Amino acid sequence: MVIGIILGFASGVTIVFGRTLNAKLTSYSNLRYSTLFNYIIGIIGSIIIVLLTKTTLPETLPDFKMSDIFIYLGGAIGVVMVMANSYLTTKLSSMVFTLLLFCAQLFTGIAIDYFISGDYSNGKVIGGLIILAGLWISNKKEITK
Amino acid sequence: MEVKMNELLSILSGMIIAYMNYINSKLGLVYGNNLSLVIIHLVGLICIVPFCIKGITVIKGIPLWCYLGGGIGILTIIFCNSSIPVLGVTVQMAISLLGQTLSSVIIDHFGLFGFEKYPLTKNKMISIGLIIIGTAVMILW
Repeated sequence: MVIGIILGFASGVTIVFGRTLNAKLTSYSNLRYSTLFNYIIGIIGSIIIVLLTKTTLPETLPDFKMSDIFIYLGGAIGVVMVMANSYLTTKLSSMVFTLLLFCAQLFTGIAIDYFISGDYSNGKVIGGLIILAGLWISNKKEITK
Repeated sequence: MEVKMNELLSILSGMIIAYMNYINSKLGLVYGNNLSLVIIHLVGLICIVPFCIKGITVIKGIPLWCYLGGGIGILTIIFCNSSIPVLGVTVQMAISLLGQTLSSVIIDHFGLFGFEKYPLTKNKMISIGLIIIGTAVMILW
C-alpha cells in the first residue's frame, strides 16, 4: 500500500516533468514534431530497458480473443489525448478544462473500480469532491493579497 | 440550445484517460511492465506516423534535454502500471494528481526550465491542502 502510494505520487511528478519537457520541445517546433519524438525516444528507451533486463515473452500468454484487443490500444489513445488536450487548452479556460477533465476522470475511475473489483466507498466520492474544490480554488482568481 | 462541444470533449477525454490508465495497467499484468512499455510506445508511434507523412525535418539547435519527455513518459507508465493494481484507478488518480499539483507549483514558483516564475499563492496552498485531505478521505474511508 505505502509503496503503491509512493509510486502513484511519482507518476504524477513524472507526468508534469514529461509534459513540461514536451511543451518546451513544442515551443521550438510544433505539436506533430514533439509528439513524434516523444514516441521515438519512448520506444528506444523501452527497447533498451527490455534488453538490459533480458526480458522475455511471458511463457503463458492468454489465448488471444478479439474482445481483448482493447488492452493494446493505450498507446493509440495516448496520441489522440495529446492532440485533444492541446486543442482544448486553447479553446477553454484552464479552470473549466481542469475541472471537467478531473471530474470525468474521477467518476469514470469510480465506475471502473466498481465494475472491475466491486470496490466502492462513499469516501471516494466525498474525497473526490474535496479534491475538486481544491482544483477550483487553485484556478480561481486571487481575491486576497 | 447551444451544444457545448468543447466542454463535452473535455469530459470525454477525462473519461478516456481514466480508461487508458486502466487498460495500460491490464496490459502490464499480461506482458509484464517492460514488454508492455514497448507495445504501448509502438502502437502510439504507428498512430503518429501518418500525421508526419508529409515529412518532418529535424530542427537544429534544440537543446537535447528538451527531447527527454519521451524518456520520462516511460517512467510515468512504469509508475502507473505498478500502482494501479495496488490502489485501484480512483485512488491512484487522486495521489497522482497530488504529485502533479506539487510539482507544477514547484516549477512555477522557481520558474524552472526557463519558464516564467509564478510565486506560490495563498489559493494554491489552500488547494494543495484540500487535495491532500481529499486523497486521505479516499484512502481512509
